Amino acid sequence: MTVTEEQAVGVDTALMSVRDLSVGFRRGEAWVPILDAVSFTVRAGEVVGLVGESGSGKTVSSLTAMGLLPRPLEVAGGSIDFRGRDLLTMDPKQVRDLRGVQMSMIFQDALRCLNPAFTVGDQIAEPLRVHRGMSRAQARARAVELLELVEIPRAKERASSYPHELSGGMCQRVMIAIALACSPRLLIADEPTTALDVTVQRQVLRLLVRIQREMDLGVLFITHDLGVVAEICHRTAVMYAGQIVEEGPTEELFRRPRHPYTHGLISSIPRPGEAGGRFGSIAGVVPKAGQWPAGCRFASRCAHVERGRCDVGRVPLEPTDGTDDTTRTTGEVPQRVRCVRTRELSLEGVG
Amino acid sequence: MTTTIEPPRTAGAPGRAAPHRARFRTARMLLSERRTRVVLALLVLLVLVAFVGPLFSPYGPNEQNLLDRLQPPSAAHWLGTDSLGRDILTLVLHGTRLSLLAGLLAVGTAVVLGTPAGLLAGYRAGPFGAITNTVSDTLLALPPLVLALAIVGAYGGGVVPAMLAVGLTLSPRFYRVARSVAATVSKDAFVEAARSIGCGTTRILTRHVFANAVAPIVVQVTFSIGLAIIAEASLSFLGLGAAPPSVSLGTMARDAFTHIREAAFPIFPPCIVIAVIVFLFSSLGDGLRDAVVSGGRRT
Amino acid sequence: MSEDVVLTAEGLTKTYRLGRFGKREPVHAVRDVDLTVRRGETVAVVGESGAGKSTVGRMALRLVEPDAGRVEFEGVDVLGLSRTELRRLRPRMQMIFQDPFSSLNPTMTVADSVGEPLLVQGGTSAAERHERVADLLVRVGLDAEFGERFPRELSGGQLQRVAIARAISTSPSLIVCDEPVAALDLSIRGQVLNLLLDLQAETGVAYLFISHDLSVVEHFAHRVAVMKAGELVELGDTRQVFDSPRHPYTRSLLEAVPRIDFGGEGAPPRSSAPVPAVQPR
Repeated sequence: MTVTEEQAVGVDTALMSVRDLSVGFRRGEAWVPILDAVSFTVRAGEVVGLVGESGSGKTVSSLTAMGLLPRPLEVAGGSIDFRGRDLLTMDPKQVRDLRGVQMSMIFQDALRCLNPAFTVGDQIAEPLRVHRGMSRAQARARAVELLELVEIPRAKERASSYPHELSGGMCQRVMIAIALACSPRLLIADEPTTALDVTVQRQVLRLLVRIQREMDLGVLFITHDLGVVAEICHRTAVMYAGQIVEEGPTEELFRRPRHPYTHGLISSIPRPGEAGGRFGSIAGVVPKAGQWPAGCRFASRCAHVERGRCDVGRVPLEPTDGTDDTTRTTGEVPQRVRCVRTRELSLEGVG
Repeated sequence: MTTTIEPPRTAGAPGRAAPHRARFRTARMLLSERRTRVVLALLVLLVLVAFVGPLFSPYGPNEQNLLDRLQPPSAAHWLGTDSLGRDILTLVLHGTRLSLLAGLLAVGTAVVLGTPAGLLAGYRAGPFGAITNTVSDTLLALPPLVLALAIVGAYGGGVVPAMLAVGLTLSPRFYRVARSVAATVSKDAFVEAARSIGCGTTRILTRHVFANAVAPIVVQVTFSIGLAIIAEASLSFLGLGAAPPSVSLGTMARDAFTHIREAAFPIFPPCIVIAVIVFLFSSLGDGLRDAVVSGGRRT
Repeated sequence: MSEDVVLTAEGLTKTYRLGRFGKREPVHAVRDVDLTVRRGETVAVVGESGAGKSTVGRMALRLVEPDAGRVEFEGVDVLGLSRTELRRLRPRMQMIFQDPFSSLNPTMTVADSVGEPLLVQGGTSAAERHERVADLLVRVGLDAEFGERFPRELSGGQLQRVAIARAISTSPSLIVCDEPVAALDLSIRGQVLNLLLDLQAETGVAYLFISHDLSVVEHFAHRVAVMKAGELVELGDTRQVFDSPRHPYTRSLLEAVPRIDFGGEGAPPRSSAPVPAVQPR
């Protein structure tokens, strides 16, 4: 099988395929990179987690995917393929038609994302009227159905409520209803439960999982919360200092992390059921954008660093099973790590 | 099962530039726009000319020459002469100096009267705040010049009482700005932290609240200087401000206005200079306010 | 009253009135809460947002005036003190705040901020303070030269260490920690929490630890107080509360915490990973 045919197979199953995306901004004469050749894929029916801490670039990645990159940030290279078409080179009008219909998003602070001057029913109806050309009555009826889908009790009455009359969890459900109004194929969720209480978070996550399965949605789930990732993501990509350092099936990532940073993150989670003891952490600080070292960016904080190997030249993101694009025979997305020493290390996981 | 990953040394964040660069952060932020810097440079030039210029003038400000009164601009008198034969250019230089000083006096009074009260009212809502709010609103409701006239009328004319009166009428602006900014800053955790470590109210207001409220107050100062200068000119024009032998732009305008039928030109220099000064201060205020709002140019 | 007890709070109540003209119902932010904290002990106050836990912490320090109740700190009736007497007591009871980026005055250097409690307390010369600040910075794991920097140059974890240095500068017997690691990255939290544990082991300082993060509390606190809507619903030793919670709310809180549990009994439902249906041609 030739490389191109097989790559075509991979593309067909992918809803969104981000390739070598680089983003940054100009500061005077210099170029400050924020994202460095980031690549990931979301297929239909799967939930992909994008995990990172401050300075990792996960927020910028999601903003770029949504087309919401604020100035002065600009895309310096790469592509974002949505169902075979590159969003970055498309006509802006076409992108607008896509957004909200085939690809939609939900954010962290639901209350602030909802317009306080309109009822929730009207806000859910809006994309239906704009993109699907429904009449007022039709859209209103569908809005009530969607409110029921997101498990809001007394949906018909609630449709006439204003956002400030609803709790945080309910606002988040309304935002999900708006995002699902036109039956998108892909949902981008940017920290949707971070601001919610833990009991409400559990309910909203359950809802998302159920809807995702029923509608066979592809979901890109951006978060810093590893616990949430473990619960709902099929595959996960871990970001550090503008790069993806590890990606693969979630369970495998947790049971057997291949990158010392992933291992450090997992070790930082307090383990339930154990008394006392010290907390795991990673010493040091994330290098700031523009001050990334050549070589491995995690080297200064890594317990397994080897001078002369880890700090020379750019470390590539490579499949863990030794295959590369030319020899892989299926459309499977391989597990990948960006670490020179990964084959020699045996890092403890959990679960 | 919790493992700690600890490379040997305590890593610090890569150090930025030397700390004293960060000290003038407010100034650098305020002056980040080029337009602001240009206006400030022009103002500095104006002030220099007004204070140093008279030294270079061949004429004294009260050097009368009745034979040469109301002459148009000539080689001997670049801006001509006034009704008493005095050189107008010299008068403009002296007058500008006086107007600037008067403006400073008025604004200084306003700052002293309005700012501390505003800071306290913004930091701590309570009966004190209610009283000062009412006082401030009342002062704001009165037409400023009328109030100044009343005060000056009661105490007799003269630049100093006039400017103190103008300062009083300008103080509510500073009260409001200080109160608004203090209320916002007081919500920040470091103000509560200052209370929790036992700081007294005075220290909190000066070191914590005011130190972080400087920028909007500076903006207000620049706008107010323009207003104060117009107020001084107006009062002097009405004969209630500067009195001879003092010369201000307002007295010059009054003099020129009185003799306007004999010579049309002398009214222009003082009025144009007033306009230019006020325009420069307003532009500076605009630039500073924009910088405060945008937080300085983005990295 | 045991000499070991640092803080006793009884019947703490705080009520806010909604509506300008007093017609609306009063909202009980905190109602009738009792707590004690002993020397060298960590008592955690947990609950969701709006439970009133932050208010309890602030009432214990009298940063917020309780509407009812009693607070006794090292034998002193805190609520009965005058403003001056209260200010003199402050060095013995300090607080660490949630947001590291706004809990330090941006116009003061790190050294100024860390030395401020000593300055306010009085009785030290500038040179003495300078030395003490350097010691404190090293104690919390920062280089002494950090003293010359401004808050905006530091990361969240470093700022929180500075806040801790400031809090311990006067050797207090109680520190109220209001969600001290909630705003920090996961991998940095351990640094700060371990520092707090070390300080407690060294100096015997007591913590009133306010948090919504149960997994941290389990490892950090000796005793746990669970709050819901202003009321204390459960109070007990950590192990006891976590292993056999008595109140249904405690149980629902514990159950709601996301767990890393692949294929275990209690694992929430997850779809199996999709296998691409495409076959090589």
